Amino acid sequence: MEVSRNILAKAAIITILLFAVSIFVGYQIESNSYANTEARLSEMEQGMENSILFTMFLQTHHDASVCNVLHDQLDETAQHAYNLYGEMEESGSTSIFFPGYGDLREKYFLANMRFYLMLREYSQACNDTSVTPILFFYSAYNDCPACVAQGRVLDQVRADCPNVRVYAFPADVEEISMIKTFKSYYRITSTPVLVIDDQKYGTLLTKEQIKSRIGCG
Amino acid sequence: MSLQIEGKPRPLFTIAAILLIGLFIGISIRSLGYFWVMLIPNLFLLALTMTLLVVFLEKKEIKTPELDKYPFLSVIIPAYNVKSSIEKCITSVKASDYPGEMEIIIVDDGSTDGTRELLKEMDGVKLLLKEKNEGKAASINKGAKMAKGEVLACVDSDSYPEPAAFREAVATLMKDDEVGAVTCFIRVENPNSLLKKIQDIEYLTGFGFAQITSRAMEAIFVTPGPTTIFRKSIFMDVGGFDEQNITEDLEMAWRLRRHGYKLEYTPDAVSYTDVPGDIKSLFRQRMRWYRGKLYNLRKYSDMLFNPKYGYFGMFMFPLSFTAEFAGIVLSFSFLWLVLNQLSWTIQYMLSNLALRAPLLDLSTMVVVGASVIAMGLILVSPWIIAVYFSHEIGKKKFTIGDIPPTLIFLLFYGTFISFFYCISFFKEVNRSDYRWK
Repeated sequence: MEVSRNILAKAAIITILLFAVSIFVGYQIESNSYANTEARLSEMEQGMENSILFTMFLQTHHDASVCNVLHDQLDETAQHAYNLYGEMEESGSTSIFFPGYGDLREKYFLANMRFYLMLREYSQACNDTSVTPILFFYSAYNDCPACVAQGRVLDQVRADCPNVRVYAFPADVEEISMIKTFKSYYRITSTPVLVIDDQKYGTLLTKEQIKSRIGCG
Repeated sequence: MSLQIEGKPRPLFTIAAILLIGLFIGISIRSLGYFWVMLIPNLFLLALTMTLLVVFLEKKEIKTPELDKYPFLSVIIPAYNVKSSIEKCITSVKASDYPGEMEIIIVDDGSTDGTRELLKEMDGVKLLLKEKNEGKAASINKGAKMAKGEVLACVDSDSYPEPAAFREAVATLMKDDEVGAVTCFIRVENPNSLLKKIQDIEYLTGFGFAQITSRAMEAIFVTPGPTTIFRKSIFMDVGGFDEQNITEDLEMAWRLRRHGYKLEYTPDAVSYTDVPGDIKSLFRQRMRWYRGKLYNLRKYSDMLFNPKYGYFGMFMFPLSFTAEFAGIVLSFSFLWLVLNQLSWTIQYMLSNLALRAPLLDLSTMVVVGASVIAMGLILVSPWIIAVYFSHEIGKKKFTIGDIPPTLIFLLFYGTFISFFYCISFFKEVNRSDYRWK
């Protein structure tokens, strides 16, 4: 036989090397993206810390002069959180090595819940009803094309109505007990579900329907 | 022409087999993820490609020997309803610069389209007219019996050997008495459409790259129908072509190997052949090839993992089928992905209808990330090298126009063709009749 076993061994080694390189490159790309998202989440949490301090100050001293500062602070964090959510959903769904961005998502949702409750607190303390929060419950683990469609409509509503804040929560994530509490409070049994002014909507809502309910346009 | 297969068709069994394999792959994808399931067959194919590439790089130099005296050569061309191509085929054979004595035998296999009348008007050829259509293998066998030559050149009626092809191939054949056949570098004639251009790259890599590797490993897998040179004594000794086989060229290679004869290849003997110009014809051709391969696997199963047959039995034969099996897994996985995405998109569009929103948003169709694309490109890189060297061996200049068909060949053609293999596999399982033109 002309072909020696050495050649085959060489081929096997190169195959393993090439495979390892491809895994390494793929891992590095995702790792960078994950680290970037993680950094941005930390930034968001930092912004939130400021908002918490302002809220605590407001609760302690009942000084309405901080309302404007807190309003701006919440606005900034809301924008940050919203952009981060989109990026995380996209990168998480196509990630091989960090599927779904597990821990990061959990952290994000906890921060977002805190953010939502803080907004409610702010609205009451500063008597400001100009900002309308919308809770959006969707499925993260089970295919839910209707959730994606509803999410796209919420994007459009948000673009048309600057005072709307959308808080999206995966209804099928059982690990976060606070989500369970939200689900039980609003009696969420299916997805997608929208909660606007504590009113639950279990059917798909068009852009116009949402806008009329929040009094926008 | 059709050939009955043993046993009755078994559609229920076939459907059950399809569902079972589909279910198994579906569950695997659900539990492991699409990427990891796809990775297993791809990793295997990478290992196979890399082996071929390393062997190729070490053994790519082939020198055709010079002969003092060239033996009598009988060129046999079977013809059945090939009015459009036979004249060109004979002209190219006649243009051969073969230094020895040469005869051209045309076996008309009961043509009804005017081929026979056309052939009767031709000079310089020996005609064998058969009344009944018996198939290509039977025609060549009949031609071989009346051939005077020590060497036979079997040429398909839609193939066009270059002038030097016979000289180079015969010189390679005569260097060793144990060589039963010499295969040529088969190229695509006039690749003037995208499908033909893709096949041109497939043939270039198949014959320019894979065949050199197979030769080095003494594991040439097929004596291609378009043009192959046989030593007549050996051809007759093994009994000629199997007239009941749908891939007689493949079967002949395996039979020669079983009888202990060697097969050779020279890239300097180039022959061009017409290839299917549409998907339907390509499908028919590949059904015949792949089903023939599976059929012959049963016939020659004793050669599988048999060290007596060297790298043919231990490497090329089993790996070829494992590669096809990887193709089945890839096909099912790809199908699963498409169906899943399709069902998702329909539901998404229905939701959008209810929402009176734009029907489709392309951003929702993203299924792979940058990491997967990067990994895919790295894994496909050995084939890029293979395509490069194949162009070099084929003395074909790579132009900008070659980029689109090459990319399609590298990225999608394998998956596309694996569907054909998948269908042929289930046709074999179902025991469907063989039909071919």
